[in-house]
Amino acid sequence: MKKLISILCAAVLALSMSVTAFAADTTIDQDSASKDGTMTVTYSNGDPTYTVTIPESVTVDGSSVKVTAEDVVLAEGNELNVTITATSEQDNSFKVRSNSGTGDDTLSYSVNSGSYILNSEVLTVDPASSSEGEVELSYTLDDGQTPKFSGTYSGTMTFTVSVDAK
Amino acid sequence: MKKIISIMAACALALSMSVTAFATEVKPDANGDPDPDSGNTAVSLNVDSGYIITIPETVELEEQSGAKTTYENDLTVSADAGVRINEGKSIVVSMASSSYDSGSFYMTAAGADQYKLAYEVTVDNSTIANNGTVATFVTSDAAQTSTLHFAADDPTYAGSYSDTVTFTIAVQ
Repeated sequence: MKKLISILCAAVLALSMSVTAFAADTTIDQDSASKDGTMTVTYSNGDPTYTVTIPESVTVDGSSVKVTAEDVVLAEGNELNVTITATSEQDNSFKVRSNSGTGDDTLSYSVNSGSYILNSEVLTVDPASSSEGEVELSYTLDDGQTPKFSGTYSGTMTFTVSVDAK
Repeated sequence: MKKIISIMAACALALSMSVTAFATEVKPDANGDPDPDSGNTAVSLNVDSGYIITIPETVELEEQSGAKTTYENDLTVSADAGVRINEGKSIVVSMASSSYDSGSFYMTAAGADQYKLAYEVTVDNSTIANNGTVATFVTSDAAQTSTLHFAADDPTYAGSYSDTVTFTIAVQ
């Protein structure tokens, strides 16, 4: 009786775990040539997870904003990438444009991370080494860029998130 | 009626509040792909306006000898180098006097009873009316000026004639 209860408990425990055996059952009896049976053990961690936060706005006066990635869990061999893929300018140049008048006046700016000037790649998180990452971006006018007019100059920058093979 | 007023008040309050956009959060969709796959960051720069306009305190008309005696002089309104205002805007300087009547400005002498000395103001040979524009300055690295010419005929009576004109500066 005790043995039966133990077996039942083991069965319930086994069913409650997310372990799935896909191989066909192997039956072994006294006549079987091979007394060995194999069982495939798998564990599924579900779907990939990550949360990437892209800042709403930034001012081109040396102010900084952060792009962050948290809880990054991906399939093995993949990494999470955040890149700058577009701006509001037709040629995707990093410029802000005067909001008043003809709007023809533009000012070039750079996106800096520490001492590096970023052009496209912003952040890479390889879950093999870390489940999170962040980069602080500061926006500054390029040398020699002096506003001709007062008022607000503005533009947009598009960040794209992708999961890629390493 | 009270309900309508309450709803309107709520709407007004909602409209008066600043609208805040939030940062974009990207998470995986059912297939594990980023959703949304991109987010926009508004990039902006606010530039303050700056200018220095100089209006002379006085202009004294001087006797001009010729076939006809007149009293004339120039007054220069200037903008220092480095005017910076919003694109498409101008600094407009206008001039007005309470003495203006029937198309002329007038100076009066202290203690004068009835007599008024008419004078004319011109800019680039155009006569300036009351509240007329005497200078227009734009965004520029260079200094800008406008010369106002004041002229009066020979007065009937001797005396020290004067008037006060007010210059108004507006960005429009």
